[in-house]
Amino acid sequence: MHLSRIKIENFRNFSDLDVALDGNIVIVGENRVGKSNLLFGLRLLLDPSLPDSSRQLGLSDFWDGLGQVDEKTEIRISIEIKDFESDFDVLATLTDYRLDDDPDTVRLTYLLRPQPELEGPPTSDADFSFICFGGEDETKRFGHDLRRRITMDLLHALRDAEGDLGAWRRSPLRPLVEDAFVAIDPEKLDEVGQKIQEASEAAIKFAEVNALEKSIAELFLAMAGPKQDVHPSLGFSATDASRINRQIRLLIDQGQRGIADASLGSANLIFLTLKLLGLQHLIEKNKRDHSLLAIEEPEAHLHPHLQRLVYKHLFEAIVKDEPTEGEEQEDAPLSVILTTHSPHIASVAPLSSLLLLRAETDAGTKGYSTANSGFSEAETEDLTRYLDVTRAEMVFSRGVILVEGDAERFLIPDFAREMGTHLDEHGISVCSVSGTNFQPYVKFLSALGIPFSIITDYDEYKGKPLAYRRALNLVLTIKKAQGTADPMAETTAIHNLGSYEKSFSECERFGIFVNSDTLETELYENDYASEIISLLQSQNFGEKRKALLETWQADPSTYDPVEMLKMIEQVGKGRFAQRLSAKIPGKQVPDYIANAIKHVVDRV
Amino acid sequence: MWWIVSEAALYLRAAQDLQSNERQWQAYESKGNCVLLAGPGSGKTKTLTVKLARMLSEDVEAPRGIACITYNNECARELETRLEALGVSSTSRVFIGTVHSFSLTQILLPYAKVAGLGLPDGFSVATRQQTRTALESAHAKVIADAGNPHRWDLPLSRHRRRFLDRTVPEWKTHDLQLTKLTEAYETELRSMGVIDFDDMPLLALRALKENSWLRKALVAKYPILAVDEYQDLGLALHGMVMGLCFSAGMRLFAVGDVDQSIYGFTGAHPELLRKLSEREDIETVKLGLNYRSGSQIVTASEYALGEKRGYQTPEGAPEGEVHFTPCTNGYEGQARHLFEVLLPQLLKLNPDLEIGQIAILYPAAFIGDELAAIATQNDYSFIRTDGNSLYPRGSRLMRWLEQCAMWCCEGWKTGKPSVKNIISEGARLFHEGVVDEDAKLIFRRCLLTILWEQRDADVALDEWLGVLRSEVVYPMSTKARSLADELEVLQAFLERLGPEGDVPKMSLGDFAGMGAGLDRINLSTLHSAKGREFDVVFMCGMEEGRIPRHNASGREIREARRLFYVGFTRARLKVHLMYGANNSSRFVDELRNRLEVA
Repeated sequence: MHLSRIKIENFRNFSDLDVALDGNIVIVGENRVGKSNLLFGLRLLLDPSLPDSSRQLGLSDFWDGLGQVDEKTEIRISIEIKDFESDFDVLATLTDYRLDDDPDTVRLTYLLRPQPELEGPPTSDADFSFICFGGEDETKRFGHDLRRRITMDLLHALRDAEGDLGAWRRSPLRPLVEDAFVAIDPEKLDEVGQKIQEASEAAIKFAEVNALEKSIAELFLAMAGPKQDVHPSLGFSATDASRINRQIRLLIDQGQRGIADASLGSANLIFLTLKLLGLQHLIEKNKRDHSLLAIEEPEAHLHPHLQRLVYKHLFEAIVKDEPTEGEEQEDAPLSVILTTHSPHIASVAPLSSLLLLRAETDAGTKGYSTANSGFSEAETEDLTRYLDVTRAEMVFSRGVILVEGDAERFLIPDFAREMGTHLDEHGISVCSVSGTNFQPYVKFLSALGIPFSIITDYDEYKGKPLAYRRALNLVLTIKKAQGTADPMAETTAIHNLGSYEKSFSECERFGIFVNSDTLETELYENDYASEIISLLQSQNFGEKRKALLETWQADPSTYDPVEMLKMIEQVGKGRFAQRLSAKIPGKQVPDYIANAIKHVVDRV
Repeated sequence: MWWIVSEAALYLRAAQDLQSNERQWQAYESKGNCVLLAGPGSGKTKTLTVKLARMLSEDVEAPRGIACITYNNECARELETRLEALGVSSTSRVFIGTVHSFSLTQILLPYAKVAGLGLPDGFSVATRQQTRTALESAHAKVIADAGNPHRWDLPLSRHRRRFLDRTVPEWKTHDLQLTKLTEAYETELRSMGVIDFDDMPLLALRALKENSWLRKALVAKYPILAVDEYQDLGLALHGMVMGLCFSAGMRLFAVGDVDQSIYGFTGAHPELLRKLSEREDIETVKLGLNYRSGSQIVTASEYALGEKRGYQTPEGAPEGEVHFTPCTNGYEGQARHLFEVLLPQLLKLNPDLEIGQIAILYPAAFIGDELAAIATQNDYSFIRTDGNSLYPRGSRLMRWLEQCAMWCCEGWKTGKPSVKNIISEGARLFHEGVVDEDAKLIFRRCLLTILWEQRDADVALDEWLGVLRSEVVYPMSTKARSLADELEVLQAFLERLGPEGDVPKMSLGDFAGMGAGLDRINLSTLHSAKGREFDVVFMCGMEEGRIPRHNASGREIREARRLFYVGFTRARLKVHLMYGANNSSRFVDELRNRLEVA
């Protein structure tokens, strides 16, 4: 089974959140946008450890923007589930809750509303009552019976892994050890207990220990008096066969150290390991059918490499449940839900799992996901490869400027500064797509609702701009992502404008900005000729090129753009741009770049 | 793991009883599809319940469960009670009920919309008044003659059951008038927002046929389907079994007896069970020992049936007696002879015999009227379970009210029946209103308050019922779409108790006694006696023209003979056959002749 949609109305940060999902969820978003509240919403539905007293929400849980809560105002949290038919236990648990018009989708709803007999607006928490029901019929209630089979576990952001591992009652090791001991013959355990007892008695018998024991007992007696005496003595704890398992400890470093000595990061990892193992056991023993494991800030205390390694493994090996040969791919009985600020984790998350929350003025927090963007396999591959750690930053940006290569990536922040804009302050990233294939990134950013602009070269070929088709196709993609009924209408209209110039200028409405050649020649012809020539002159070119550069210096208009680009490429476009960026202050910013920056700044 | 064994100990202990009977044990050990052919008194119900407990404990794990389909609500209750005694309490994992309630609660209520059945939103079950109105309007539109519309009841019902698949050309050609009447009738019902009783299995079967996800969902919920009294369950159920068990992969455990198929008029056919038992992919087990009846009765029962079945009695079984009692003066004469001569004799000779262990069976309900009148004249208290009884014995609501009455009389002191059972049975009855723990608490508080105030055996029954109806039944059943019929039963009974009614004043104690039914003679039609057993059975009206009826077809004669056999085999110790001196049934004659020869 997998979660296919979540819808939240009037709850805390959310006025009306409705977003498609694709099983695992990696929730990103700025602080205080409602990530934890979204998890709490899911817990209201599926966490059996949450008492009903916590399910009873109240006035303070309604969306702030709501103003007056009246007799009709409801908090409603629903999830939809698909692919629930491959595991018959899951099917048996969920089948009654199908949608009226769609047998392949199940819906579970939490609903809080004012008591029906209320006359006038609710004034206290007691004026509300909640129900949990499935499908579209309120009489199909569900409760603990369902939560016990399809269960959400939450690992809090401020979890105390070390403390939990140390306390037997809370330790995730406990159920695993207890399980392992069930099958052991009690008589054999008795033998072990006997041996432990003998060994501990031997240790206690040392005169030094004996003396200590005696002095403790004497002092206690002196202080407490004979009536309150508890007869303290020294020894190792319980050796009774049924309690031996409690003496089992998890050790690290080949048994040399206890968990208390582990680093915070290791303790967290060990905790996660045991938790996952515990979940697997529950499912194997048919105590549970599906686990939704939610981890807040999984990056806590983990080195970046470990973040990637651990969560890549979690997504690839555990959740996907690789099919053995000849078998059909089976749904794994585990879904993972993460809330994170880490680009490292975002970079290894499956593309379709990203859920971006963004606070929108007057409309509460909205959600954007990539689950339904319709990426082709090639696009998924492209994006997945693309979203390495530095670029996964895109997900955490408020706006993105997409560019073709490193040259733009180095120059644009400095151009912006020249315009008096600090891109980092605005949360805008400049991302290079290493080429001209902007399509998947435009789909991706459109899906996540992140404002963006595109800077691309004119690229003349046989008298026609290659950028023309590129730009029109991007407009089409953007219109499709907006859900326009007839996305072709717009591109046809642009195409019919009559000239490339007019069409390109129209494309700017969509954030697509095209120059008249390539970046470097554009710059050369716009105030940067002498800077470019002097930078090239500082290279160790041959005599022929040196001479050429001198004639250009004498009269910049005589330059040969093809030859110049060859020289720059030899330096390396990125390296060249880095050097050129130092010369920007006081210079003019090319219009199309200024417009592209402004386009995004205006929208974040 | 050891603790499961301790939980399961009850059924494992009960299973030891099966071990001495090779065939029962074979059924108990079956792993796949299994048909258990079980003659009268062969320990069928015991085998079924122990097997059910075993399958629930060993073969099916939560959240999946077992669906068990029974012939009527009474059988369902008996199975529930027996399973509880084996430590299997009724949970959402176990469905026990009739084909109709299975169709309604497991298929139609949860899935009517998504399965695309086109039923009205929030449909409910038609009351008798509604079905009558619908038939009258349909009749006016399609037949439009001066005749009584209700003479079409049976043909209509038979026609609907006959064509499970209405896409076949015969639906339009076989009897176009009936087809049109059916369609008009169903349209009328839908416009009232209701479905009727016959609709339930038909619609459920259609939903199953058209939606493969639904078959899969049912297999997921209930990987095992148990069916009791298969021979009496009709074509629609057979269709469901074929679809669910032989194509979707549900495992079948069916129990039945071809010889006890007596419900041909509801569409049942013994051939269905026979064919099922002959399938290669089914393990068929035949139980051969009759633990109920004396050896004489077992021997005679094969003559009564006219087939050699080879049933045996276990060693040490009593002999049993068969008596032939010709009478004069019609049914009244038989009744007088019974209550004024035979019964006093019987009670004198057998002082330990419990009155509740005596049954008087007859082929038609009107004979029961005669018997009831004479019984009253002779001061015998009785309980009727035929169509003319005070209320239908199959009514779950009435049976639950009986339990409430018993608690109000002595039960609150003795704990029998227990409050816990009354509440959980009530919650199940009103399950559409009692949706969660909170609602259950409210229901419990309300019910207990009312019962506590009303605990007086001498209070007039109509008053007590009136209070329970307005304070408990009505408030709880406003949302219950499946209870309309039951409410009508209660209403009809209250009318009969009222000043205009035909029933003499009754006290709460009388009503409670009917629930307990210990010291009352059982008056029942042969049909209603199905599945029951008594020490002594009187079979009245065993006459030609009555069993079989006049002008009976070959098939009807065969069924009448099975009915005779069913009545005969209810008895443990004595059977008295009573009939007009010159008009004995051919079945009686044949039996007498063969017994004389032997």
